[in-house]
Amino acid sequence: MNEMKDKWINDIRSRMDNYSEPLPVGLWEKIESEISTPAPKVIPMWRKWTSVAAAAMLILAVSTVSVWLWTSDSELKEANAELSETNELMQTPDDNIVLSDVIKSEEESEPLLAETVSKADNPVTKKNQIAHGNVLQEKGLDVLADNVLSDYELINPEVETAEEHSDETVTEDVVSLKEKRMKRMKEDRETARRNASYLAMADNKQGKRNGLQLGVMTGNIPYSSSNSFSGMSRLAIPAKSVAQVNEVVVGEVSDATASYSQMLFNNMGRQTYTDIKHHVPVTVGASVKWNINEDWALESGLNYTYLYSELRSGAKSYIEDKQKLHYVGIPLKVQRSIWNNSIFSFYASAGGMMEKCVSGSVETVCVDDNNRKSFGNEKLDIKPLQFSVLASVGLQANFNKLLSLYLEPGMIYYFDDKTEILTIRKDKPFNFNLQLGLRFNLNQ
Amino acid sequence: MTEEELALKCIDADPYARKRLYEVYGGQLLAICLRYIVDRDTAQDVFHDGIIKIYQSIRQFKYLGDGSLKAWLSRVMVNEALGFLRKKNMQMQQETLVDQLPDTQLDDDGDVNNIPNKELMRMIRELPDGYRTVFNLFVFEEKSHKEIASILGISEHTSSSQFYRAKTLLMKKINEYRKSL
Repeated sequence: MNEMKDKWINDIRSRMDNYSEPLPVGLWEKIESEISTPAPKVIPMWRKWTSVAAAAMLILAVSTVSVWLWTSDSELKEANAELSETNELMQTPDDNIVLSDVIKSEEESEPLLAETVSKADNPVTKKNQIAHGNVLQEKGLDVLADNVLSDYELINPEVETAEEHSDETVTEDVVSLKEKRMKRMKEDRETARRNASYLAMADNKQGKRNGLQLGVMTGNIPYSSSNSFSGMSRLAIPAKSVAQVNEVVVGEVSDATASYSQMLFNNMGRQTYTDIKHHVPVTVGASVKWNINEDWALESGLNYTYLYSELRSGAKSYIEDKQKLHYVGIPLKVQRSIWNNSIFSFYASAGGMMEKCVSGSVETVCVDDNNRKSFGNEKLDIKPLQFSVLASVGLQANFNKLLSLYLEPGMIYYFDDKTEILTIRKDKPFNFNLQLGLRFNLNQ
Repeated sequence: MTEEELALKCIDADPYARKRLYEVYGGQLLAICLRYIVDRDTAQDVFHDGIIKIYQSIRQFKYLGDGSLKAWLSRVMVNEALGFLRKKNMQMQQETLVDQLPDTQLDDDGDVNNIPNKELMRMIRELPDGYRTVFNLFVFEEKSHKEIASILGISEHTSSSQFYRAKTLLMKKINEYRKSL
């Protein structure tokens, strides 16, 4: 009986398991609109939309403020013009002056003040007064005080003259009013100053965004490489010397190759070993960085790299090669800004480089059993291009608007250029890479 | 898209995945609400709230194999429905309608196999609120009477007796339906 009951329950459960009701029309739209809310907490690097949006908002806010400032400025100018016109009409020809001139001297400002006061019931003029007060405050507080006083005392514009109000006694509460006004003016001035600096900042940002930066840099794989193995080897084996060793054919035999053949012969049957030392490559270069937008930048330039390798191969008689290679390369990198503040910026960079060996030589010294030396010098002509890819992170310190220093540690991979020339790039194609450089901002 | 991918994309707030989740599981989840709440409009409101809650808390979902997403979604929805019922203070103990109480032991086993889903659903929904909640929890959520008692704040005994009554009532309905065919 119990089993039967359980079976009944199970039957119902399985019958209803996938039972589905038709979804009400339009409910999804309602839900969708309600859930289109904050993105996940972990924001991937390439989806920093919130910060981008915040930056955009800031720029927008700053520019709005600046536009407002600018327009209110022109408003003031208009009022100024109006005021000086009135001035012209009502005063002697001497007073036919621009407002800025007026405030230069106290004497001159007296009639103006009268004017200002006479228009005290006009809101625009009031504003104007504050602006004037700002400048006046610097020129002379007395004048300002007069100005402010008159503003409060003279409700009826007809009564006032400049002489009158300047002669008037100052009552206590008027003084406190005056102080209040002055304080407000100070604040206004402060605000104006702040706005001006915001404006400058906004301009600065604008400049940076599409900026070109020139740079110089140095660096490369920061260590040398050396290895030893038994047997004979050469750094760069010119095709002809190989042929000559193998076939012992006559021909134009240089001293060096002849001695090499001789040395190989001398060492026959001996235990030979080879030491190769690739010295630290030296790279210097100039770069151009183009900031596509705030986050992305493209960098190219021109690099020069010097590779120097030494080899000692043989036994008692041995050969020494000194190989010097000069490369000129063009890198192309994409940079993505990760984080920055006013001083430091941190970015990731990836790209590739194409290099051409412009000059190469190998100096050979052959030492035979009797310690006799013979010297040789051969030019190396490396036709194929050397390609590489690299990825790095960069830390840049901005000293000022013009100059910044950067350090880019990263990894680099050199593709095989299919030549027989041994370099550090063949020895360690995948390597650590360090770059140090300066960038100059062109937009300033 | 597999269950797991769907859940992961929902965690990333991918709009397409969210819609897909709604389309695939919405009907079943709505059915759950309708099983607990008789009034269709109210059930839809609870369903709506439950779906929102699902999107908000899908981060907590752990994929444990096939079917785990559905199980998780159902659990959230059941909790939502129960929360609603609790809020409504359903007074389940008192709500025993005497005239619906079966007075005799059933002579039939109330075989459900020939009953269409829709009819079965209707019958379950016709059960009195208190019976139905216990029945739902016991049958579909596979809760023990002890668990049900703690969920609903009733005694274990009440739970089992309500379940018994719900079951007999449902069997009676099934038998009646079968006779009417």
